[in-house]
Amino acid sequence: MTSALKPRSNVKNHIREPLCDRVFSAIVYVLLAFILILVLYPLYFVVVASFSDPTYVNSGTLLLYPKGFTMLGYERVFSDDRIWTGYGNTIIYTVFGTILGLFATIMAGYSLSRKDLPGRNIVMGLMVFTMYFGGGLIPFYMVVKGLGMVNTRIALVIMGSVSVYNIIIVRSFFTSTLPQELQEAAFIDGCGNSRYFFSVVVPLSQAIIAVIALYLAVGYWNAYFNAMIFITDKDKYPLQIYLREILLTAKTAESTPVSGQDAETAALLEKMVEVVKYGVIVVSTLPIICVYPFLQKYFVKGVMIGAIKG
Amino acid sequence: MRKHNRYLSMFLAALMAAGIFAGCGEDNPTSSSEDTSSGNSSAASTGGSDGPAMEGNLYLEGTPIVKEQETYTIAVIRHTLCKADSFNDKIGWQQAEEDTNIHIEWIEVVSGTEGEKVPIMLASDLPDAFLGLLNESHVAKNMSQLVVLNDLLDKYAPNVVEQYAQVPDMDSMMKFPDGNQYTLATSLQVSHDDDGDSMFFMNMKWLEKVGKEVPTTTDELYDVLKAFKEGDPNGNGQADEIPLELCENNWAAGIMKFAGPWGITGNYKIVDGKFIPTVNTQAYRDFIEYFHKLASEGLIDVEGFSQTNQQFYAKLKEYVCGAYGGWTPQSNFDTETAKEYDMIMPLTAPGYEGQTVKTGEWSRFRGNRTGFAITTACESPETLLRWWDYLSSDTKRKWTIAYGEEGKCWEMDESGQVWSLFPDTDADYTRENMKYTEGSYGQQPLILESEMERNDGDLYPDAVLRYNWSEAVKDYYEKEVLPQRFVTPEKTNEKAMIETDLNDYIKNFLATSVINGVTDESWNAHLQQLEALGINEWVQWYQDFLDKKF
Repeated sequence: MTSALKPRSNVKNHIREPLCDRVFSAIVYVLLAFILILVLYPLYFVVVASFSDPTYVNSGTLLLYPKGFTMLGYERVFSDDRIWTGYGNTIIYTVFGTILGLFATIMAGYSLSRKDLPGRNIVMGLMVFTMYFGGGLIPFYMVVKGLGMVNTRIALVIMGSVSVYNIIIVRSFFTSTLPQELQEAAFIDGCGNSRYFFSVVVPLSQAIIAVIALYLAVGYWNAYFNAMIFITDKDKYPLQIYLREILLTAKTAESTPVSGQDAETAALLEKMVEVVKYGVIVVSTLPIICVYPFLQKYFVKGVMIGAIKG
Repeated sequence: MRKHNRYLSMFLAALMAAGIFAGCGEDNPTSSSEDTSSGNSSAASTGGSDGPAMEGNLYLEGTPIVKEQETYTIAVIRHTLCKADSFNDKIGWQQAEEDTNIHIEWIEVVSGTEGEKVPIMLASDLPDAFLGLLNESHVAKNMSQLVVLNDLLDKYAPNVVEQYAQVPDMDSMMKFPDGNQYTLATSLQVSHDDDGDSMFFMNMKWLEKVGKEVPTTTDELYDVLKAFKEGDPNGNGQADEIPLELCENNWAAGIMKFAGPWGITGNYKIVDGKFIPTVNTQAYRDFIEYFHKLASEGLIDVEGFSQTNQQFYAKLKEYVCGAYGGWTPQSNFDTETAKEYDMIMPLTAPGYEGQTVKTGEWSRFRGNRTGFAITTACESPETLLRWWDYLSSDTKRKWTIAYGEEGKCWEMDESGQVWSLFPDTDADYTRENMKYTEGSYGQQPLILESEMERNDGDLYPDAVLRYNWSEAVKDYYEKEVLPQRFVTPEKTNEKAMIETDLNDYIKNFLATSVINGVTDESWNAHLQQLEALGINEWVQWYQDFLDKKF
C-alpha cells in the first residue's frame, strides 16, 4: 500500500518517473480498483436493495441503481421504537465495554510484557490455555447466574471486554517497542511504576490503543449471542438482537405463505419484509462504517507492529 | 379475614371428623398437606356444603383452583410474529388467571433462540413448566427433570384423560419407551388443510391457449409441457416459458412431489406392515427416466435443484411458469393471475395404472406431543396439572388461547361449531400477527377434531380451497404410514447415523440422474452404493420400529 502511494507524491513534486515505475503503479491502481469494486459492491448492493422493490432484487435484475424505488423499508425501520431502544443499548454497551476492555487489556498486556513480573509465564500460560479449552455454554451460564448477573446490563459490558488474543497483541507491542533502557532511565530519574505507565507508556502506544479500541468496539457492536442467552428484558436488548428478530420474522413470514391473508396484504407484507431486512442492515452497520476510516490508519500500523515483531 | 377463615376451616374439619357431614366429603384426601404458607395448612382438607374438597391450598374441583393466589413460572416459546409486550397481555391467559387464581410468570423465549436457551434452562435454571419449547430429544435426555404424569392424570386432569381417549392411538403416541408419560399435547389434533401436502398447479389459461386438455397421464403431461414450451402461452413473443418449475429447497416444489404416478411418495413405502425402500425399484428408475426426458428437452427447470426459495417465488411472479407445486396459487400470485392456475389431479404413468399415490395423509395427528411439561422444580405439579385441565376443559377457552378474543379471529355458532373470521387488519398487523399477539396459536391444549374450526368460503377462500383439494385427492394418500411414537435417544442416533449419508447420497443421485440420465451401468452402481451406505440397516431400523421392537 505504501509503495503504491509513494510514486504519486513524486508526481506531485514533478520529478520525472521512469517508465517502468509508471507502468507498475498503473497496474497497481487497476488491481486496487478491481479489489475495491469487489469489496465495495456488496455494500453498495445492500444500499441499493434497501431502496428497491424486492421482486427485482430476487430475480437478479438489480445491478447498479434502485428499481421500483421505495422508502417503505426505512419508514418501517424508523417507526419501530425497538430499533431506537436497541441503538441506545448498543451504544451504551459499546462505549462502556470499550473503555473497560481497553483499560484491562492495555494494563494486562503491559504488565505481562515486563520481564520483572514474577510468574508471568504461568499467568500467560493459563491465559493461553483458555484460548483452546472452554467450559462450554452451560457451565458458563451457571457461573454468570451464580454471580447474579443474568439479565443485567453489566454482564454484557463485562463479557467480551477482555480477550486473550488482544492481550497478546498488546504484550507483543510493548515488548518490541519499549526498550528496557527506557524504563531504567525513567526509574533512575525517580519515576515510579504508575507514573512510568501513564506518562511514558500510554503516550507511546496510541497506535495499539486505537487498534484495540476498534477491535473491541466492533466486537461489542456486532455482539448478539451473550445478549440472547443472558438478557430477558426487552428494554436491555442490543440492536443486533432486533436485527436478528427481524430476519427471523422475515423467514417466518416467508415459510408460512398462507392462512388468512388476502393476496394484497400478503404481497405488501412480503415486499416489506425484504426491504426492511436490507434497511436494517444499512441502519445498523452505517455508524461503524463511518467510524472505521478515521481509525484505519492506526489500525494498519498497530496490527503490523504487534504482529511482525511479536 | 384470613384468621376468620382458619377458624372456620378448622371448625369444619372438626365437624367432618365427627362424621356429621357424612357423604359430603367424597374422595377427600386427608393425607396430603402441601405447605402453601397461606395460613390454612393446618387444615389438610376442608369440605362441606359451602366449600369444595381441598388439598392444602388446592381445590380438587371447579374454579378457582387455589384458595390463595399462587405464582408459577412457565417458559414459553414466543413466536416471531408476536407483538404483545407480555404473555399476560393476552386475553386467554388473563381469563385463566381470573378464573383459577393462579398467576403465571412467563419466561418468553424468542423463537430461533430456543436451541441455546432450552438446554441451559434444563441444566441450570428450571422453570415450573415448559410450554411449546421441548422436543422429543429434550424430554428423552432430561426425564429426571420432568414430572411423571401417569398417576396424576386421572385425579387432577380428568378432562384431559377423557379427551385423549377420543384420539386414536393417543396412548402409544404420548408414552415414552420407559412406559411413562411426561408431556401433554398442544396445538391441533387434525388440520385437513395441511393433510394434502403439496398440490400440483397448472395454468389453465395457458392450457386453453395451446389447445390442450387437462392431463391425466404422464404422457399427456409431457405433451402439455411441450406445448407450453413452444406455444408462447404467456404471449410476450419470447420463448421464456418454464413449463414445469421445481425447487428442491421449497417444501412443496421438490421433484419427489411429482413421483406419485409411479407409486412413490418418498424414499420408502409401507405395504402390509413391511417397510420397503423405493429408491432401488424399477418404478424409481422409470420416474427418473421420465424426468430426464423432460430435463433434456428443457421442460423442467434444472436450476430447481439448487435455487433458493426467494428465487423460486420470484420466477413464479415473472409469469413464465406453466406448472409447479405449492400451497395455493393465491399465496404465490396476485389475485388475478392466481385465478388462471388450478390444481390438477394425480396422474397415472403407463405401466403403473392404479398405483398412483399422492403425498399427504388424511386426518394425520398434528398435535405437538411434547407441548406442555411440568418440571421437578414445580412445588405443586398437581396445581399446574389442574390449571392445564381447566384450560383444556372448554372449547371456547382453547380457541381464546389460540386466537384471542372471540369475535375477532373466530366465533362459535349456536351449534357449538367454531368458525374462523377475517378481522380488519393491515400489513402492519396481519391476521397472523393477531393470532400470535392476542392469542398464543399452537400453545393451546390440544384442540380435538370435533372442536376444529371451519372456514367460510367467502371470507377465507384459501383455506376452503385447501380443504377441498386435500379431500379431493383423499383416495390417493398412502394407506399405511409410519406411526408417531417416541423412541430412545440411542435409537434416534442410530437412525441419524445411517440416514445422514444415505439421504444426501439419494438426493445427489436423483439430481444428477435427472440431469444426465440413467444407464444400466449407473443404475447398478447406484444399487451397490445404496448397499454400501447401509440401506439394509436402514430398512431394518424402520422394520423394527414398525414391529414395536423398541
